[in-house]
Amino acid sequence: MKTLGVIGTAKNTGKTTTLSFLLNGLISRGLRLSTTSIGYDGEEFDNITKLPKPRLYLEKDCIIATSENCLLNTKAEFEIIEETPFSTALGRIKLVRITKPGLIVLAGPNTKNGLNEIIKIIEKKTKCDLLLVDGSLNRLSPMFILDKLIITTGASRNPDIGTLVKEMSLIEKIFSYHFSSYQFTQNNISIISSDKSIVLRGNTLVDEDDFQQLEKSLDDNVEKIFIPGLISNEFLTKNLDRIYKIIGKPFELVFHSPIQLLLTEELKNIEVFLNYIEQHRIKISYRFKPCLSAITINPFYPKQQNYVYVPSYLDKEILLKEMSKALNTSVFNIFETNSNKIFDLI
Amino acid sequence: MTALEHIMDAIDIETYIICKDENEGKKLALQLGQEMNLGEVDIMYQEFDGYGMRLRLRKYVYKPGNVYKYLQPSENS
Amino acid sequence: MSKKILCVPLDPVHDVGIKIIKNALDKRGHQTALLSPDLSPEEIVKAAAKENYDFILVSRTLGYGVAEMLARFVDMLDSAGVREKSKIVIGGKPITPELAAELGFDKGFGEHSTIDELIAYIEGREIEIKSVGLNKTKKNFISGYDYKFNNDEIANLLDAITEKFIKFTDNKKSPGIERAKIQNEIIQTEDLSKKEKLYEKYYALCDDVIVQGNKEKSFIKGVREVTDVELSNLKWFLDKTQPLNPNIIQHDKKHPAIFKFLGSGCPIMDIIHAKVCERYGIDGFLIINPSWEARYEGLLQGYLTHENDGTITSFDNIKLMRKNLDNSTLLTVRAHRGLNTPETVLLAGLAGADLVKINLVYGSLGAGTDPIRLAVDGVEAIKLAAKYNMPFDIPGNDELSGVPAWKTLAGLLINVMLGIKLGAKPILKPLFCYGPHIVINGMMEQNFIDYNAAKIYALRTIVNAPIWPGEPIAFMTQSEERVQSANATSYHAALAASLEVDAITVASTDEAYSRGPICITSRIDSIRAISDAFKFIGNANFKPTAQADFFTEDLIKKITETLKEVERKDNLTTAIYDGCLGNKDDGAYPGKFGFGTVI
Repeated sequence: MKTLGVIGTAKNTGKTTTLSFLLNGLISRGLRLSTTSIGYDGEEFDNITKLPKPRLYLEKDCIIATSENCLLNTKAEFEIIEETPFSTALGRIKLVRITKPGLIVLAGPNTKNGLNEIIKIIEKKTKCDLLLVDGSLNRLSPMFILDKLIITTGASRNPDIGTLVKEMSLIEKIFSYHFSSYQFTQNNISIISSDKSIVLRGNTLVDEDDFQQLEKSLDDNVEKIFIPGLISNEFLTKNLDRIYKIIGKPFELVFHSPIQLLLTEELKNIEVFLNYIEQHRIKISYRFKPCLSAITINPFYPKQQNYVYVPSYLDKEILLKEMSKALNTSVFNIFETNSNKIFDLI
Repeated sequence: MTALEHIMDAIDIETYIICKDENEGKKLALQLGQEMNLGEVDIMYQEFDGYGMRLRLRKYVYKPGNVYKYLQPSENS
Repeated sequence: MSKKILCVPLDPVHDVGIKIIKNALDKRGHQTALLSPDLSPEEIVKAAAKENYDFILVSRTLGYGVAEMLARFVDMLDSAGVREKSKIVIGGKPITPELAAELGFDKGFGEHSTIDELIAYIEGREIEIKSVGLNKTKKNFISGYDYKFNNDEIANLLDAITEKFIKFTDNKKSPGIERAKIQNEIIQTEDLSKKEKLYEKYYALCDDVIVQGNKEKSFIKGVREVTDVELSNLKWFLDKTQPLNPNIIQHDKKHPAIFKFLGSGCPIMDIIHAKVCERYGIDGFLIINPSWEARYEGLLQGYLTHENDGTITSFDNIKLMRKNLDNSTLLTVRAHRGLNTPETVLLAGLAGADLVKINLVYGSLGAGTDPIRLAVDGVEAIKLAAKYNMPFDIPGNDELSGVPAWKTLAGLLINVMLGIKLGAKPILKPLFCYGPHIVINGMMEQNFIDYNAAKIYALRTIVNAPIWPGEPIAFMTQSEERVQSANATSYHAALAASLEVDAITVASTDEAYSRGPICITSRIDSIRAISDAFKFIGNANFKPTAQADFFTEDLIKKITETLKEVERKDNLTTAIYDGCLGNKDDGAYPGKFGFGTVI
């Protein structure tokens, strides 16, 4: 079974709309589908802005993994396939088959381990061809175990088109690096030199202790540094220079997955980091990396006006044109006519 | 100028709605605002006690930055 | 089993909540660590990853951009492998399960969650959120009182007054007493033809209005029978609903039991109101019946609804209320005035009511019943109250007409001594009110505490009996304005707690509004105000000024003088007619209903 996730750069970038569009299109192409969410999606009104949200309509025979409280409030009918051992804030996650279509809210596993296990259960208990996973807010982590990702972005992330385009370019760049040729099996920071390999105690580069521990183990023979855990903004902007100065020549930085870079607080730190590695010919690779299949855009954003949120829109044509021009990855507005081409990429 | 427009800033509705759970209560509360022709209302306070929900709804008639009709001589003459 | 918990105050300003939770968890023997609020998210994640925590508790209010920040934080924990070992929990005022799920937390606790729920979750116990019923025990605030008099002079005067009085009422009959006897037989007999004959005897002693209502179902304006459909709808509604998170108002043994009035006119509306009030913590209810019920000989039968003030105290109505109120809720029926007092007490007793209201003095001076009639009926009512083991409260409502407090209290004490002699359990009910006499004479000009406290002190100095101020407390201090009304009730409730009285009757915030029935919102608002008042005062005290001592002495002195005056008369009813316990200058007038009906 293949897995595809829809992640958003922010709330209201069109994750559920994109997911809904994909579900309908893939069903009509004869695929057997399952779906879940890593958060809570499909509710009528946004939990924070109180604006109405698109809800998920699920067809007959679709398999879903969702929390038991969400099953209490649906007019859709279903049969339970399995009660999983996982729970969310809304109760135990159940795997069900839709027997009568209807609107439903998805609240599935919220950790990467949980999602991994749910995938195994779906594979074991059903004959689904594809699992679609809906994101939640701007959350990423569990999604990075999936095969393919679609990123949704739009005015809700930033109402300035130029900034949006620049940001997506950086994200695309992050996804462009390849798999590491070296099989790192440890989950701690590892240093591969021409003459030795060292595994450190920790897996993060977050504070001064972490850096000093790393620096002590570096010399000019280092070829690869594997960092599986969290990295701080200081690493991206300043401390990489400390490391480079000790090694004195280009080397390879191996991350567990692109998520470590995407979790930085501001993408401008990424820009500084990417400029530095380019300048100093430092290579980037990943132990694991989903494929970025497509990007969808949403011109809608909730504008704060007088203490409430009102719907507002950017120029959708300019947004699509500028985004497509700047990126190699295909960009879609699913409400436009050529959006069906997205199915060729899945 | 309507009576509503005479309100300095907001109108509060203090009431109690019979409902089966908190979700139904909130839904009904917002619906009440529509039924009373007040449009969108904020739920300032809600507590579901098993039998129903104690509610305070607020409709802002004027917010900071609006033009206050009751200050206009032409409206008040 | 002790759990390892990391407490993370992500909110640099509002970290009090998490500190309170940490303390509670420490007390339960769990190992907690509290991070300082100025760490970066990466530093927090590193600290979380360092140890094997079972739970990571995050505290944060919401605001602009906070949801995205929390989502990123959750991602970092997942990415760092922390979620394989630890459950992550978020707490904050706006948090709901849906929001917690959206943010990716394993559990969320919001403003309606309790520390107990959080602890239960951590310890792996699921608290049954929908608890069945109130899980409350019925309050008994009478036991522990021996009715011993500590003031010999007053005790002797009361003894003399009541001895004369009991002799006076001995062997006297009234239609009210007769009807009570017949009613008792009617209820006890199964034989239909016997019942029919008894009813004829009963109706012969009733006014036409009552006979027409009972026999022909032709009722006075505004009264109709409750239909079977309405009763079954009520049952359906109550069967499917349970109180959620019932509130307990009292948290100290000093805090009094709390009663509210019912008497919308409709027993169904009363019951629905009562169920909600029970959930908010009310311990008992007093049924207020229509004023016209007191004027007619005989009582209406059946399930009856009334479009105006006062719920008809028919046997069926009282039984309906008793059945639908929680077993722990106390029910009081009014029998302090009118022509049906013994019958009302009988029906209350047979219907399972817990208490009745009787006051021979006030009932004739301020509530329109002929003193001799009420004397005779009242003694019988007290005997019946004793028979059915129902304590009776003695409302000092005479003060509301303008009668000075000492005369009212003298009247209460007479009822107490009568009750003791007849084997009943009397409860003193002085008013916490801003009555006319008080207003005119300025006793509460400086504060409302001294004079109210003095009444309690005076009574306690005289006799060891339960005290239940009403009716309601704060009477005549409330306006139609909601917040002021709630405040007035809550301050008086706090005073009552401070004075350690046994129970109080409290009003809704509609108390001062006389042009419509009381609504549930107003009831809830005043109950919440009282709940907060008790939280505020705890077992602390108000400190009356020295004036309270002066008032106390003065009250005792004047009560004694009043009782002396009463004792000098032939009997109590003469004393009432002669104005010893309130005269027309005080606004008190002996009643006329039932005049000449005693044999």
